[in-house]
Amino acid sequence: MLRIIFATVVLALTLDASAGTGRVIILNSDKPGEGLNDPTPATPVGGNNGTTRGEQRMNVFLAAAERWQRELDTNVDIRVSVTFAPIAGCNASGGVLGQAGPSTVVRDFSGAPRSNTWYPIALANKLAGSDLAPNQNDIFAQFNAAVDTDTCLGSTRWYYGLDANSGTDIDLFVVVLHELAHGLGMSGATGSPGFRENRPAIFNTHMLDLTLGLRWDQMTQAQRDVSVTNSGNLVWQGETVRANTDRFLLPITTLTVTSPAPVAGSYDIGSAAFGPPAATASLAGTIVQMRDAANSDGPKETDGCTTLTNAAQLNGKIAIVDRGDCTFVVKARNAQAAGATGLIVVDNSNASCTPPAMGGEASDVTIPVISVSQRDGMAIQTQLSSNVVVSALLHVDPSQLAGTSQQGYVRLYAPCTLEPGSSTYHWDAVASPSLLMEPSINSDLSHGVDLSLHQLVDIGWTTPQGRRMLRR
Amino acid sequence: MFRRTHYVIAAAVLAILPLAYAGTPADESRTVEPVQSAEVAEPAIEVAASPVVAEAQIRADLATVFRPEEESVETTNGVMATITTGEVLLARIGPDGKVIMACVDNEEAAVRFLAGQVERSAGARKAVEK
Repeated sequence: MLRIIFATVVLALTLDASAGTGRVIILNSDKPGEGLNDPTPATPVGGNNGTTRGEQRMNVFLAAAERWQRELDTNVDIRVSVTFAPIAGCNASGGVLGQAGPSTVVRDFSGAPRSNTWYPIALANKLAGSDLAPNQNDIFAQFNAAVDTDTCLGSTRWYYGLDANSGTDIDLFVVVLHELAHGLGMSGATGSPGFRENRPAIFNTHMLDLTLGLRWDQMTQAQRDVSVTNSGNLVWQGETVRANTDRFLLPITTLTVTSPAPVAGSYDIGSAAFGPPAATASLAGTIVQMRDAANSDGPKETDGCTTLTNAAQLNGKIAIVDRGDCTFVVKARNAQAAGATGLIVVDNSNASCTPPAMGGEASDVTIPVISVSQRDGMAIQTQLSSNVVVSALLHVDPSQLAGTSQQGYVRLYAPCTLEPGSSTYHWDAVASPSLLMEPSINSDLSHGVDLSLHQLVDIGWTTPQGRRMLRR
Repeated sequence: MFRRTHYVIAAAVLAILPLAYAGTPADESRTVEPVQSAEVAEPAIEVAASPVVAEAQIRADLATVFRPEEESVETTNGVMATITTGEVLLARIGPDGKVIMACVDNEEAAVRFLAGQVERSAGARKAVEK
């Protein structure tokens, strides 16, 4: 018995010794005087003590690499080739900030958990326990130095501080964390929803379409073409993410329509920068369309930009209005003046299923103001135009987290009307608080790796805390 | 002249990319000497005459980012394929003057975003708009 215990301890120590010795190595691939070698003097900022622009850029990469190195457990070095030269085409209106991904994908290697499945080379190396492509780097990253000039995005700059205090600039540390995660495996083997050689990437094997009840690796290409825009119903199927979701997401604030049956259900909402926060607002009642004169201040009778023509009907009711033609604040003031208890703004574009945030400053607005997508709003308005009474309730739903499906899966980004092929290798933007791997780098992000780490564990990475980290 | 400049840019970026992806010996201290194995033309930055960017111009600029896929190769360590395009992070100035970002993996989505056809990206929910 003692011999068995001794052998077990030795084995455990051996495993532990072989794990976690791999490093995330940043390889400077810029030419002299450029990018990571830029000698332009720079003042230390936000904990970044570099004294040249190049040093500061490198320090950010090293800090991000150190973060992933600390979080992930591998015995094979992960080599990241970085360039930070100007990328053509960025001008005052926009351009490419950068790109990153695995340098290579590999399938059917010795030790592959799934056959006929593409793995990013860094993960494949980790699973194989050896460097499968020793003459190649594992991740490539290309960033745009032109952001640091007025010609690219005007006065917006990269922020090289490490203190999450980027202000209106772009926090490079967060961007690098995000892009490295793509290189570590939050990506496919080709542009989504395509499959390289009709075989899935390991990420694809966790993408579940709730409408079809199928994962992407179980679908035909035609089914994936539809699934990629199935907003709200394309989710992540992975036990580690599922077990840790409530650590990172807050209960959802939702607009629940209670009647009539055809539109009953819960709707995603966008919030306003003014008025009481939706999460603490008390709002329930029937919905009434706001109407005003069509005039030069607002050419539609449903834009709520001028004096309302049905103010009496709105008293004590929830007003609904179309977005556009005037500010959100004007609409809110008009609704409030009519005695409405709250305002729902219907988006005026179907470019995204995501209800817009609403800017503005108005300390005098005391009613809650929320937005809904054009699709959802029009469904409600169609009922109203038929004189059907629509009842709704704005409330925090403790049974569902912001960014998850009603079944508890975390939603993937599947914008309803964007070009098929838009990257689904992100979390849905409805997640709240924001997550690192949403398709936009949100200004409220901390410098954490949140659910992204757990997603990497679901595809095969392990952490120093355990080979299969279910919850920590 | 304008078009010729783009050819220079494209040539420069194509010359640089293999360096970026090529294997480089790992450095123990993580920071390594820069790769200087080839002379390349100085990449230039184009400045648009107008904030409204023509779609054709955007496509030309993106040609250096979205590159054709490469065939896979059978090796003793499995079947491998080089990734020519990663997840591409884009930015544009939104209607309120603030930066909007999107992360895409195909040229069509990138063109739509940069051309402003997609006014609000996913992250706009958290941005401040008017």
